[in-house]
Amino acid sequence: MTKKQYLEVGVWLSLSIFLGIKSIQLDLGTLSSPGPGFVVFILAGLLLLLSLGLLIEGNLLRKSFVQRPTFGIRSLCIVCLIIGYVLIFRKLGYLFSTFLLMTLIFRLMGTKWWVWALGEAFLATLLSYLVFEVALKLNLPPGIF
Amino acid sequence: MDAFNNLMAGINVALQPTNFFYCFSGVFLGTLIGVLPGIGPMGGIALLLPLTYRISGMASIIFLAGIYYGCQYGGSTTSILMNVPGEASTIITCIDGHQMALKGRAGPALGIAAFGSFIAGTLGTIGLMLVANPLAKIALKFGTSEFFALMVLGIVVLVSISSKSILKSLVMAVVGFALSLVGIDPIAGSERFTFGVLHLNSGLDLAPLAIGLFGVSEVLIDMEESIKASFNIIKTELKEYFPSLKDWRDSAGPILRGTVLGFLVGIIPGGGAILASFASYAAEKRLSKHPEKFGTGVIEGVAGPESANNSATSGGFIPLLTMGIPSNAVMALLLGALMIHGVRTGPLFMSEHSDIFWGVIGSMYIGNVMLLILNLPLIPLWVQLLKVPSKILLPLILLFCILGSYSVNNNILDVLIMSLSGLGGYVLRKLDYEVAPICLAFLLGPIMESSFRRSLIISDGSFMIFVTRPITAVTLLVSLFLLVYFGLKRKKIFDLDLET
Repeated sequence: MTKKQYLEVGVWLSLSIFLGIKSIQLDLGTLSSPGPGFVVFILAGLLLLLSLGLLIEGNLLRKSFVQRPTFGIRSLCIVCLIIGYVLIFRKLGYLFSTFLLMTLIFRLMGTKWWVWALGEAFLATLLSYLVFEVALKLNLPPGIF
Repeated sequence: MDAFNNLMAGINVALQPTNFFYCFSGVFLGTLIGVLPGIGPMGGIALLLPLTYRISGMASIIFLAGIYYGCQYGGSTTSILMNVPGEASTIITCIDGHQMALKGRAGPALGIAAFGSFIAGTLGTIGLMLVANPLAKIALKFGTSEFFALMVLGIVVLVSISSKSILKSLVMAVVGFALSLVGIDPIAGSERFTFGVLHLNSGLDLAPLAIGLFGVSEVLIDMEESIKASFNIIKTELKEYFPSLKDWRDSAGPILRGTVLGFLVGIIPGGGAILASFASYAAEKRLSKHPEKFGTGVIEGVAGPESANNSATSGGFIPLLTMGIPSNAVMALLLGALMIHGVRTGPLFMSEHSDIFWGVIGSMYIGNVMLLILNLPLIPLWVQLLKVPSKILLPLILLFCILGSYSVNNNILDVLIMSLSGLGGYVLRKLDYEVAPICLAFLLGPIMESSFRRSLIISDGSFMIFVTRPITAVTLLVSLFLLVYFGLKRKKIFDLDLET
């Protein structure tokens, strides 16, 4: 088993422990009157068993056959950009924040020149604004505009 | 006679301008989504789901159903012309379809895919019309424990066929179930997993979660793979699309067999268009007098699977509409769309919402005719669209994901949920997890929890209610059998992989 697989099982085990603790806090109730934590407790137990199953399954495999996934840094950057977008969305408004986001995303996704990225982002923002705000009346925040 | 009158009424409903418009938009966008490699019906429906919030329940299901069966038509185009499946259920079409194209027979391959899809889609709709009513009557006898057991079966079937590791798929189902518990407890009325965030009191919304899991994660993966870089499109003329008489003779049997097989596979919870197309190809190869020719460009290898995946979409509506159980993740999204409009599917659906049921059936007939008319002339347009570089297309899809999530409640927190589930979906898919069980368990979770808890309340805390009631016991036994059977079978396949 690789370190990543141990980490993977660790995540599920932690989630199972979290659900177990929460289920008790939520009130398990009784068998004839199950409380809000009853099903949560069962899920915690299931997840615990499945994590142990994954641990056994992982150990049965020979290391050479375990595929090691690679995670792209650009993918993480894009998610971070969207989270940043969430933070500035209300303050700066749809047009400005979306223009900023799309410029950076176009650059990250392969547009070589900044000028092109700016142009593509401008068109994308404008078109989406016309469709979603003007035509579909989505009530996008105006922000600084 | 009643069914005929209802069908006519349904066609009338579907022909009303608004419904007709949404039917057309659905099949058009569905074909487009099917053509674009990577997105698939799941991602497409998840992306377009928020658009249905502002329209009626009837129009929204007509629109979303159109996308689903439209996808099956569109997916074959890229499989045949480029050897790149537009969506998973057309993977098998690549084998003989692309070989036919390489031999200069792209036209008949595209033609038989379209005509086969039309015949299967229409016959599948007739099947749906005939089977749904008797099944709904049987489902009326179901109690809470039976519903719980059926939902367990639905999740187990999807888990059994969906991934290399059953354990990983089960983990995903548990995660989906846990996510569905966020919000107010349906029986006790207390808050669960809201962490003081007011927005979470009403629970997580399906759209941001599904858009993140399927749409955003797909964009992130496609961005790394840049699959469109090596496309080699085979040119064909419109006049060449019509199959010859010999092609029709060779395809008639596969189309009919594919239709029946696809329909039956579609009904089984967890089955669907992908499984149907593979099963049809295997059946045709086994029944053929010249099985050795399969893989070299025989028309039977296109006609059978293309018919099967279309009739499976019709079959998939049966458990959803008659028992309220989505047979696959796409149906789970359709169920979500109906629930948003306050329409609950189940045994009473046909009597309480007969207008919607027959309206959808009517729209399927009309949609299939539209697809036949649209499909072949639009192929040059789809080919042009595929030439748009991924560096332009992917950011635009991402922007659409953002707007789709925001439009659910006009709340930017939904965009945050979408991006986090997108990141989660990306990591999980990289680690070889299937994300579809999350979505199915997320949707079935609340109904499963209430059925389970109510069953225990009824039985005064005795688990024997799940054993003594025949339908419940048999359904749970079948679920257990499937888990063990597919688990052992997969182990054998896996061992074989290791040896080779």
